[in-house]
Amino acid sequence: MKNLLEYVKSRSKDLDDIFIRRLCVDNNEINLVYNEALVDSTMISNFVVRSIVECIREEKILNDIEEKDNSLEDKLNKKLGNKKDINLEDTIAINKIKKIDPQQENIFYYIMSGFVLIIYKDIAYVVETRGTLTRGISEPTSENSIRGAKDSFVENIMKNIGLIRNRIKTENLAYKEKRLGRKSKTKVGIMYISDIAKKDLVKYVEEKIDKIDIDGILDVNYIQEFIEEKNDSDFPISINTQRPDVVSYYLLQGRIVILVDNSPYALVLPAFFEDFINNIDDLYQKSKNVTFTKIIRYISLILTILTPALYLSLITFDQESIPSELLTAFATQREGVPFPAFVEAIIMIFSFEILRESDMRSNKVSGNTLSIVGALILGDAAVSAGIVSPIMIIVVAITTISGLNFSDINVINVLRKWRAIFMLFASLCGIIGIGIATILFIASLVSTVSYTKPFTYPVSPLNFTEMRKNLFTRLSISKDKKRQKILTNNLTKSR
Amino acid sequence: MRKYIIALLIMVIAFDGLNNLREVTDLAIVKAIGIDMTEDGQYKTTAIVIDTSNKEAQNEGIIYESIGESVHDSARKIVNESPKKLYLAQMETLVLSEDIAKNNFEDTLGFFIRDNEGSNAFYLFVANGCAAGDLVKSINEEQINIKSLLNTSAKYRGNCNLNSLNDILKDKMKPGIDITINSATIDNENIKISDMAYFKGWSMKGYLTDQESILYNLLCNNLNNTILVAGQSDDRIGAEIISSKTSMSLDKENNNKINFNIKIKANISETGSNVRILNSKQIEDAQNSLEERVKADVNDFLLKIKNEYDSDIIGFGNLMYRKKDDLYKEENYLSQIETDVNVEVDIQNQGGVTKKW
Repeated sequence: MKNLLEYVKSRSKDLDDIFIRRLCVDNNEINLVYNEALVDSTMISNFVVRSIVECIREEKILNDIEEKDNSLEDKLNKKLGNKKDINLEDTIAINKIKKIDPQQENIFYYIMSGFVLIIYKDIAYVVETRGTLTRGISEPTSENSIRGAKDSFVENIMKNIGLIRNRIKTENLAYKEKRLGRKSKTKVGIMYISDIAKKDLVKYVEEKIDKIDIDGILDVNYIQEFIEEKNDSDFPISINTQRPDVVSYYLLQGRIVILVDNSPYALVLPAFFEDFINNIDDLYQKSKNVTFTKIIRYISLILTILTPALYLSLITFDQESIPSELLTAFATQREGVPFPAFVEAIIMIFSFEILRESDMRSNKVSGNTLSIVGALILGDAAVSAGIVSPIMIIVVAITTISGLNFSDINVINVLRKWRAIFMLFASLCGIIGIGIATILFIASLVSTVSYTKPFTYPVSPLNFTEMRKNLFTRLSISKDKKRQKILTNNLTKSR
Repeated sequence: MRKYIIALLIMVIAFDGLNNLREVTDLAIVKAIGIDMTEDGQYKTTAIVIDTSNKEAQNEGIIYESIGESVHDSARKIVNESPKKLYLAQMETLVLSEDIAKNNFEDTLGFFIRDNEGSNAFYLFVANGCAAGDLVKSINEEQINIKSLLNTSAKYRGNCNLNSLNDILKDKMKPGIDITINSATIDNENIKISDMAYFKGWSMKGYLTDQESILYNLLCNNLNNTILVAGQSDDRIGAEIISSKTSMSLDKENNNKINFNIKIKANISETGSNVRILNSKQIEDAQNSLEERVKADVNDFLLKIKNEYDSDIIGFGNLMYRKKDDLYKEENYLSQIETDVNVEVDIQNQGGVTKKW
């Protein structure tokens, strides 16, 4: 490459946001190339341009102190032309400066990452002058923290790593960075605690990530789908979380965390079914009282899947299974509803799902209108008009409220799907149908494998110690002295 | 391929269920049925169907009546008046008229036992001194929950029991035991739980007295709570039985002798002005007089069963059957049985002037 500047100009013909600043000094010139959108321009003025200018001025003052009649600029030009090359690496007052070989490295990667390329006599330096394009750390939006830490990940991977390292200050917390995506060149980081995490799992994940070949990676889910390629199950086998304290908790258990630049979510793997029901906030509350909370969550899991199916089967097939007063109430409520119970249930469940989906997608301004309209139309007007029975509203309400216990969107989607399957079977053959659907559900659950680990651990394979620790009850942290054997070979965590 | 076979099997099971699909709005939920016999030997069915058309507070049910050659026939004829088919699974009460009960009512029950839609968990009543249809109509008019009425009577008085058809049939299957059925009557246009009817085989023989109904439940361990009085007017001791246990055993030496051992826990609830219960001696006296009263009553009752009623409702024969004694196979074995009754009354609480609340 003969003339680096010409090369840069030729390649950036279509890049109007690339700016080239020319500092002319006698016969020599210094060119600064940077992308206006990505750099902090005060940083360039203050620390790059000024450093160069001051350096030259100082040398000029020292050497030509008697030449007072000429203008400063003339003197500068004159002086620079005569003296030997200035060493930019010593001159510029910015920490991260690097001399690069344009033959070996892609200079445009640096320019597009917010570096300034300094071309001086066909020698290229890159100086980091990245502007802050990311937002500040704020509260998590998709997970609610009752009394835990309120910080959450942002779109900048380095900030996210900082949030984790803030909590785990050991050199054993490994961070391995890879650049993935042919065009996007996104930073993807794998984090694990090297003396806790299982080596074979780390290797497995690294190999999977190395095989990724794609144009661009925009979200952590891109990675998730590549490394989960063999997962036919409906259930998510890795945890998406926004909270650094959750990530740290899992890291200390020996799990592996994957971070992707520009995604405010971390991916934790492997995941077990109980992880989606347990909540990190349980650890911040008195352990004895958590049992009740956990039981409520399991009940709501069952309710959110089963309620519509149970209602359908009770009023269309198994009327003898309920007390006669309740049956009378059902019959009285259903009197005059023009649709069969299944159609009625489908109408209501779908309207509520539509309401929920549009509530999620719509902006916050129209969200309020939506909820008023939804509550009025679905809750009241539909009943008065005789399209649905009030009891159906109750059923849908119980279903929806129970479903709100789960924040992970993947879990919500699974529950939706299985709710529909249960309803279908219940409408075909009542309680027996629910039995069949339960068999299918359990079969699907236990056949899920989360990165070589059984998804339903610790229920199947059975592990009483672990069940006592985290399933329905939570063991006091002071008594929990062993790590989980399934995640680590290094069992002792305290004495 | 295997996947499709499994899917097909599931479909077969699932779609098979569609046969049983019935919307709750297509059911005429029957609350009670009364069965009478007409003069020309036909069955007359009176049914209360819950009225679901009014969404406001519960109102009276709809009464349907029809006459047919069999119970099922008469029940099915109701379809001609009712837009919905009778649904018997939630039925609470079946009332049989005295005629039917006295005249081998096995065939009448047959329909309810065989019908695979209905349940066997309803209560049976004999209409004491009125037509079954009238009793059912009266239940409907008065808006009375006869199930709760029976429950309360059985729980606090003990002159009836909570045996459903299932329990009665279970008793009937055992050798050497005769059944009893609760009865209800209309007294001044009010429904009232009446004395129990006793049966020999499938035919009703008569009614026990009120006192005997309670003693019967005491001997069959069905008694929860009742009032017991020993002595008269100023000498009376009133007690509330809070629990009782009766064990019946065959005497080891005399095979025809049956020993009753009745243990009663009671609270003194009132006494006549001559009775003072202050020390342990007086408590013992009170216990003794209560024991004597119970013992005398039970002895009278047993004597009456043996000699007059000729119906083994207590289950002497069943006890003998279990102990491999063949006496129960003989005709008139009841009169050959000797009984010995032993009663222990334990007074738990005799009351005090001051109360803690």
